[in-house]
Amino acid sequence: MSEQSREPLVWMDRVAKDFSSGFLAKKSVPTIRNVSLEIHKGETLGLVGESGSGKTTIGRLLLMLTKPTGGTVRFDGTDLTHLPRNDLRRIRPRMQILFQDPDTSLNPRMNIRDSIAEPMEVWGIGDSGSRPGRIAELMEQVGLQPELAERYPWELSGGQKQRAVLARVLALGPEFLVADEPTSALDLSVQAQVLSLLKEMQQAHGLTMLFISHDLSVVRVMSDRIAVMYRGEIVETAATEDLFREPKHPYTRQLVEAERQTESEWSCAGLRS
Amino acid sequence: MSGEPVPKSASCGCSRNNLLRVSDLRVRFDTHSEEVRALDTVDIGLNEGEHLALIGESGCGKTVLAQAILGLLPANTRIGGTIEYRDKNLLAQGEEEIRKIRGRKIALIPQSSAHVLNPVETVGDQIAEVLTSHHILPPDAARIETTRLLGEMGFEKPDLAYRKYPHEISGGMRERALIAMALSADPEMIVADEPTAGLDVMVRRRVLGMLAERTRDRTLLVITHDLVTASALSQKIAVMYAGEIVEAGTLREVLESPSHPYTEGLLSSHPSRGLRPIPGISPLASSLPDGCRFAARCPRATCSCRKNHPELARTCGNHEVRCRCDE
Amino acid sequence: MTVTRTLVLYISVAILFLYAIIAVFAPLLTPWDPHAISGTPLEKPDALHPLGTNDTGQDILSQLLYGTRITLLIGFGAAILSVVISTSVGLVTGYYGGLFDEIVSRIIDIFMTIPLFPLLLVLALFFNPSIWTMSILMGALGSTHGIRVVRSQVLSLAQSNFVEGARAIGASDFRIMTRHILPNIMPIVVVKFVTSSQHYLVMGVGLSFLGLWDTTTIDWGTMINQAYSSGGVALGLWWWLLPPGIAVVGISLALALIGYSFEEKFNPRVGVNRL
Repeated sequence: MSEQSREPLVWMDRVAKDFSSGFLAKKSVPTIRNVSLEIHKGETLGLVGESGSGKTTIGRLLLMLTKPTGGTVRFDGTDLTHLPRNDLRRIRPRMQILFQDPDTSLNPRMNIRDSIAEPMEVWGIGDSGSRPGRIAELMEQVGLQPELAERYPWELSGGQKQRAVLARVLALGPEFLVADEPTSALDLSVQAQVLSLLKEMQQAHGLTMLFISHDLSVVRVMSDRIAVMYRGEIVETAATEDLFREPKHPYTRQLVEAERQTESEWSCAGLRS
Repeated sequence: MSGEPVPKSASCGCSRNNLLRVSDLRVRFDTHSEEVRALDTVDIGLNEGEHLALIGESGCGKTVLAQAILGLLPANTRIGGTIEYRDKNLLAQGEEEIRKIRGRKIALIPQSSAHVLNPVETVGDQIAEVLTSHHILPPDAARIETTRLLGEMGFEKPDLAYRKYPHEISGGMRERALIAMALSADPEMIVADEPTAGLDVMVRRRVLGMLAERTRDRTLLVITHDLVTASALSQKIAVMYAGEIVEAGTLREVLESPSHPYTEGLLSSHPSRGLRPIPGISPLASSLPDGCRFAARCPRATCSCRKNHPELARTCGNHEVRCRCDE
Repeated sequence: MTVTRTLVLYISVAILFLYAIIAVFAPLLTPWDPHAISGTPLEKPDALHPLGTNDTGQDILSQLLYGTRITLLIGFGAAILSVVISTSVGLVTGYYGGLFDEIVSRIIDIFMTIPLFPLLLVLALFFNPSIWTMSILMGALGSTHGIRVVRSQVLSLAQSNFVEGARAIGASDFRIMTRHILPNIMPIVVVKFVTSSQHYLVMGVGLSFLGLWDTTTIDWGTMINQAYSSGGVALGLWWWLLPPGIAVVGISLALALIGYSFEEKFNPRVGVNRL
């Protein structure tokens, strides 16, 4: 399904992250301890774990949206950890993120067209003549009707908003995408639509992805390999089907077993396909 | 939940034990610019001890239905039809009467636990409030009873849990607190609105297990878009789309041989069933098409489907479908 | 908004507009030169002098209309300055945080413990500033509360997903602050402007009533002061005492009501009723 090149595109080595207690939230955000992972060009790594296990933080660390307390993060050979602010900004178009909550992912005061155009404006891609065409192209790619361009986020459904964010992100033609629970807040049929879209992107553009989710059945269809997180650490990494066939770590076994049970339960109601 | 063929209810379809009967319910909202048709001719019957799952996605009207049953709809709503609880039409009752039923006879487990709990009151106090406001127990006894209930809900240190504030506990714990709140007055019927939304797979299992056990001898109406939740808690399913019921029957009937294209589409949308999405989006409740409301997205739609609005018809047994696909 | 609330809003805006017109076109509207002695002192209202004359024979109506200018200028001027300071400082400290934010916040905390009006009194007594200096001082020193309000909004916005998304696509800090954060705090800023204007207007009248700036200028505060000190109360000169007072109350009320209905309109709960 994916091409493996020698040097991984995304690389995390012994990364740790502590959150200082000067925080407003009473919930103790767990530290990330000694996390190492690598993602090769064109591959999708799934990241599963329960809420609070730190998966979202990993996504943000990979994009250097927060800085690690220890360890290094590399992208395409460049060490992001100590990169000066301006250089980091220049790399950003190549790595993007899709958040969980579509309701807060778009500026409520910008219409869809402006939101999608923004990355192009920031980086001077195209000009006022060519941009409208590009925007229309992107909207079509993600399945947004053209008349939605003038609308504002509050007029769109969750699925439509998520697509708009995807269009905006794709405007930069990134090589790497972190999808942070992109469909957890969506209904089942909408989830299917967005996931299919992501799969298309994977195949058409050879997108490298980190797919974060707590839902094992979703991760299974989206990923080539899966990393399991538990309380701030990665406890197991394996190729997707290997993980399901022979889970090694006890926590992984719990997850796979739970998934299997759930499957059989409502499969037991009769549907087998 | 173990999948064994033990009937969980004494249901036989006879109206002798009929607890709730929703007949021809129509709910319309008037906003300043348009009319929103939230529900259209909804018929639901629940006998004592039965569990019904209402499946549907955002915008289908399922939460409006729950609100209608509990008398929680806003003042500018136009409601038609009847909701009979033990042969008494709830829609014709005054606020005083409804208040006696709400929480006491019919309890609601509302959606989005984080927003529903009062952030400045402890979890325990909020549960105890149900008991004191219905004059079931005096405040001290209510506190003791609440602590006991929290223990039953699986909170390891119930005294500690009592004193926690909603933001100090996890999503799964909040959901269990809401369940405790609903159960505290020992109601006959529980309406659970999306009890597992936003919960992890493992936490969801725990919550479903607990809910299934606690509602074993009660009547349950569970509203969800999650098929796993529906199958864990109920034996009857009704699928809603755009304010109408499009398919209804037993769990086996609907999941094994879905007759409505929407149900079929929903099932095949699941990642483990092939991830085949249904194209398009559901219509807005303010601009519903004539004819079949699913026609725009239906792979088998004909001209006739788009023109004529199908009625709910019985196929076999108690299996009902709103579709003209056989014609 | 309900019908009555909309009606209230329209009436308030109309009143405000009226005041503005009076302020702008005062020279054209006043029947007499407000400084000139145009009649016998302490005349009761009549056809020539609709609001009578004061103790030196000057026409009160003319003074009232003319005084609108200064009063409004000071009030709104201070409010504009206050809002500009609040927004820019609040934006920068809220977005960047860090040491700069800490220092500025402490300074603001200190200033907030000093009540504004007495502070202005003291400053006026010692330094005898002009009206404009007073206005600037009012706006600057009174912006502390605004900074706090803007800053807390900015703090929470800076955490939101779309701001992080903007950072992720590589937008510069400046762009994020001006294109993403600022438009989303505008509602708060507008409301603050309206309520600040009301506040400063009344404060301005109060300061001039106490004679803290040039007493030869004609504004409502000095009018009330003169009426009062010339025995207006004892002599029952209602036509001198009441009009400036009512003028102050009128615009104060109009501004308060506008601020109130804006607050409701801009309330971020664009409640999408999920069925």
